[in-house]
Amino acid sequence: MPVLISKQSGVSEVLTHVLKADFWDVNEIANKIVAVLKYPPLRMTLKEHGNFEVRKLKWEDAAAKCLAIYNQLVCEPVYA
Amino acid sequence: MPSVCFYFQVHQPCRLRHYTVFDQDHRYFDDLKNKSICRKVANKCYLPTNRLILDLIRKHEGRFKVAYSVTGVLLEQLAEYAPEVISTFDALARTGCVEFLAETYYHSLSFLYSRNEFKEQICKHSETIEKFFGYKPRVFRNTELIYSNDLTDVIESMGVFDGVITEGADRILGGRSPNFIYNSPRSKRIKLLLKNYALSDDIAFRFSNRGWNEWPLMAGKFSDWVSRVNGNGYVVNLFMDYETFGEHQWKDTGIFDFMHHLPEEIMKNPDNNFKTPSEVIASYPATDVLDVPGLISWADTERDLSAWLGNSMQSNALHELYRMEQNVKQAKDEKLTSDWRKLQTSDHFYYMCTKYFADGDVHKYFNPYDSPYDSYINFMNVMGNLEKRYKKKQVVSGRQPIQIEH
Repeated sequence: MPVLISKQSGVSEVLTHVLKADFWDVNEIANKIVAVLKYPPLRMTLKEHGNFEVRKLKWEDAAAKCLAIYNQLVCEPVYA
Repeated sequence: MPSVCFYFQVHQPCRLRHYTVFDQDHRYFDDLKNKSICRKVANKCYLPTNRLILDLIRKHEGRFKVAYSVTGVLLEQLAEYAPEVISTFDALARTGCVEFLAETYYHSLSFLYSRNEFKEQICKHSETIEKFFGYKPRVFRNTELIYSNDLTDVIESMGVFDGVITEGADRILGGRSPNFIYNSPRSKRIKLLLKNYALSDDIAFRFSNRGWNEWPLMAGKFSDWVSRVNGNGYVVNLFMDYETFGEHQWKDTGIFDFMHHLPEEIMKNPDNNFKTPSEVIASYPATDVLDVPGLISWADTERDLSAWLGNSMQSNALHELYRMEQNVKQAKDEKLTSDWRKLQTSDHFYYMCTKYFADGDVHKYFNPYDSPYDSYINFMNVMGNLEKRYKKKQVVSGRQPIQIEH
């Protein structure tokens, strides 16, 4: 399904194939909701690309990155 | 030989203002933003580069030559926001060393959707160039160098052009060199000049890239590469956006110094010279037939139409736009027609591209939108209002709207 999120949300940093609006801008939020209802190609493209994008986001990958940083820090020499 | 043939594309679109589904007025374009960008590009690129080219023409006493294609939509903006730029183009025209090419007035994709509209825009553009610069174009370039065999048929049928410029894409050359002149299969009269994309992109894209193994690119080094074509080509076609000078490649990259020294370095070799596209066409024969049954362009690595027609939003927006043609023209409203035509500028659909959304530098420069989805929504909202305008005119005149069968 097409997604509309706040520009100020944390997840807006990692998602590209979504609609975004400032959380206070109710006119723009309404504009985008109506657009999704009015224009089927917009719905289709958001669904297609959004589906592909979300499949690339896994907690296992985020955990692996954290682990890599911990390992890097553990291996770094400690200077007194 | 070889003859170096420079052609610079000079264009800026009329960008849309933020237009929501609730907006009802007919002000579609962001005049403030367009003025600001026009003045910025004028100061960073058009004025300093025009002055540089003028100085080089005078310094080399007519041996240095270039060509420009300036879109109608940009000329309108320059006339309003930066008329001094038009004066410098006029000065360049009067040197006799500068050729102006023809293209669609609105930098549109009309060739793909409406051949009548396509020809009308070309005629309007040629008339405008003649009015501003006293020059009747003889060589044509389609928007973004989009080309196929059919394009040559249409251009030849207009009876006023001698040549067409397009991209030297590998898949149509099949191992041949872009440094020769070609004909299309069905036309022996129209000559094809192909962009040498390797050497052109060395200046336009790679010039300031410190990771490039040829960085820094000095005029002498580039001149050596040009001279190597000697004996294996008639011409080196260097085709690029004019905004290369000062915008895509900022002044501190040394791009202006490079261009300042390039003509003298190239002419150190007595076998080299500079020619305009028409001079190239008059000087050299076509050596082979270039069969391009499908469509090519100069955009991105694919050199196809995916930058403007790569997703369903783009194809829907273009289809809906050209579906309006008969109804808009039937309304006989100059402002309505002008607005409809400004919506045809290819940049509007370029902004809707999802191809390189995550990391496309070249797609993002000058792009007023945060996302291709914002671009599509904005465009379709404007189209919705345009449709209401011509339907209202039809109700007033008692005419029935033309229904287009799908």
